[in-house]
Amino acid sequence: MIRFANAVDHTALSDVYQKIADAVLAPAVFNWNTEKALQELKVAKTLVYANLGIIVSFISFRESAEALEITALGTIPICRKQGYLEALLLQLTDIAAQHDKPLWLEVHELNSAARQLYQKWGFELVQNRKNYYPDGASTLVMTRSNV
Amino acid sequence: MSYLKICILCLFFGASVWSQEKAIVLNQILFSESEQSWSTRDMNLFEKVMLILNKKNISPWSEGRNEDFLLSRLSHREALLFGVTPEKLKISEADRKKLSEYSTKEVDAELERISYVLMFVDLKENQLKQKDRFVIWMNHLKRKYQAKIKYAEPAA
Repeated sequence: MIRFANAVDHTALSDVYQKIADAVLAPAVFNWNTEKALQELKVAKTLVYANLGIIVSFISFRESAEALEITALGTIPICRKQGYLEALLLQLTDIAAQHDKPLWLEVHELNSAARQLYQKWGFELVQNRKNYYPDGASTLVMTRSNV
Repeated sequence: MSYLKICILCLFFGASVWSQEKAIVLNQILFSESEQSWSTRDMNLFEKVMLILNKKNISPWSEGRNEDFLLSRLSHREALLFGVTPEKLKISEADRKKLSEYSTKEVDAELERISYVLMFVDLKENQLKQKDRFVIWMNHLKRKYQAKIKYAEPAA
């Protein structure tokens, strides 16, 4: 079931986030520290996929005048490759279409797995912001129109 | 009736009652859910396998042995619906010998069940975080799978 997260979901989302963070093999490309990420989950709008009451995947986003910007997303490692995140993205795409705005996201230039996934989902590279991350790496801005 | 006959009859009935009680104690039905019933024999296997796996319980929030066993059966059904296949737990041949009163098929089925349940309950517990929310979930499982409890439940 896909739904918007509410305040009660915060502890569950913290756990999901922690599991995702723990599974990251290359911390350099994972630029969110836990505290910052949990703060984001509180202030952003978050769509969650709940399977039998367990939150297995989420996408957090913020709405600006120009776009819906995806700020964080992920799936519990043991629940990956089951289409949860893709289902959430399709839902977010519908929301973006209703608002007549494109989707934006940023990704670390060395995070090739994520880049490939976003490209598969129809995101296109539009900008390269150099020296964006503390490690001196660039962030790639990608966008997906409603078309 | 002679005194001897009465004595023999008493011995016969006494033995018969004793053997019935013994049979009930050996394999008493603890609960049923949907169309399955689970007995003390099943619980013994569950507890022996858990001991071999060095696991104290499925959840520290279970109210005693019976509820932990009930949780293992109800959450297994949920875990199957959840759609994630966990890595199957294994035990040594020496440990299998400790379970010789059970068939290989029974032991393997128990190991598989526990693999699913530990994965699923761990996820659930970490997201529930509080015992009162766990109790609500447990009650939901009992209703969903029509659990009919035949053992004495701990006082609320």
